[in-house]
Amino acid sequence: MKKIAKVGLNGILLVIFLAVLILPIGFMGTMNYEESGNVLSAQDTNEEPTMKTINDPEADVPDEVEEFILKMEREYYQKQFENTSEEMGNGVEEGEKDKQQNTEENETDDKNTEDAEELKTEEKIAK
Amino acid sequence: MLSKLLIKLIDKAIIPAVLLLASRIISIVLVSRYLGISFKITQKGFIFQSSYDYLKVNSYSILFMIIVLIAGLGYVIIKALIFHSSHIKPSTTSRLFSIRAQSLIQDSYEIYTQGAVWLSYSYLLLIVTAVMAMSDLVYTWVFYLMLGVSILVTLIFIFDAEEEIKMKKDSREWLDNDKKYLEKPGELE
Repeated sequence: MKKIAKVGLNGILLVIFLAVLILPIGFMGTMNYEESGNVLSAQDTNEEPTMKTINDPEADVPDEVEEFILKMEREYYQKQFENTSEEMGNGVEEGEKDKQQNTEENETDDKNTEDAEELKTEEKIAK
Repeated sequence: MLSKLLIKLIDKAIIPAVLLLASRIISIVLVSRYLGISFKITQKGFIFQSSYDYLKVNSYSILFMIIVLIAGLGYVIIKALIFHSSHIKPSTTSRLFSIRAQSLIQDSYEIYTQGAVWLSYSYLLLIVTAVMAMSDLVYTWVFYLMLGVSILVTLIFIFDAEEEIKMKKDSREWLDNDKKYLEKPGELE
């Protein structure tokens, strides 16, 4: 009986000792961080239009920004125009090339037919 | 009835526990203030806004704890190597008595119980840091630092314990086994 009490008391002491040891280490887990909860899903919709034009009277656009946007737009349209005109130019050149090819082909065809006719007349004469 | 060793260990473990706990809390607050990181204190503890903030504060906070651990272990190591009652120099003893710091002279029982407690904290911190480093919750260099400190301190304690055992062995051999002149109980009168 005495032995059991001794073991029990010493066991309690051991538990106290281990608790004192683990206390500062266990306290290290009391730090955490928030998971970012602003993940968009298919259900998230924005009913208000986010795009605002410069002409919008409610949009308070500074003059510098407005000028910059206009300049960018101008450059964009100019580039677009240049691209389309280049494409058009290429198209005309290609058409001309096709025409030339066709005339050359026609000429060769005509020559061939003339040669064939000449051969036929020569054969007739020989006969 | 109660184990004297366990009582001694509990007694020696209280101050390091309080020091490490305080260093953890103080370092979290100080590092957050210094780096301009905001946090909330809730029932779950300190809550940071992002994992990057958490990683930074946690790493520097553990570094602060390691510094406190090194200070504690250094104190015990100095006591074990210089002020150990078994091999303290007479000049050091007289100097300590002259400045009334004789309490620094301690025996193996006192020093090794204190050393065991600080070493236990060192290993526990090493395990926690390893787990955190694997989970990317702490910088890897913090773990390597902790590993280096643990290995170094363990080696110093092992060498000191070996020296102590050797000295005990030598002193036993020095004693004469001849009991011819030993006083027997009740013989003096």
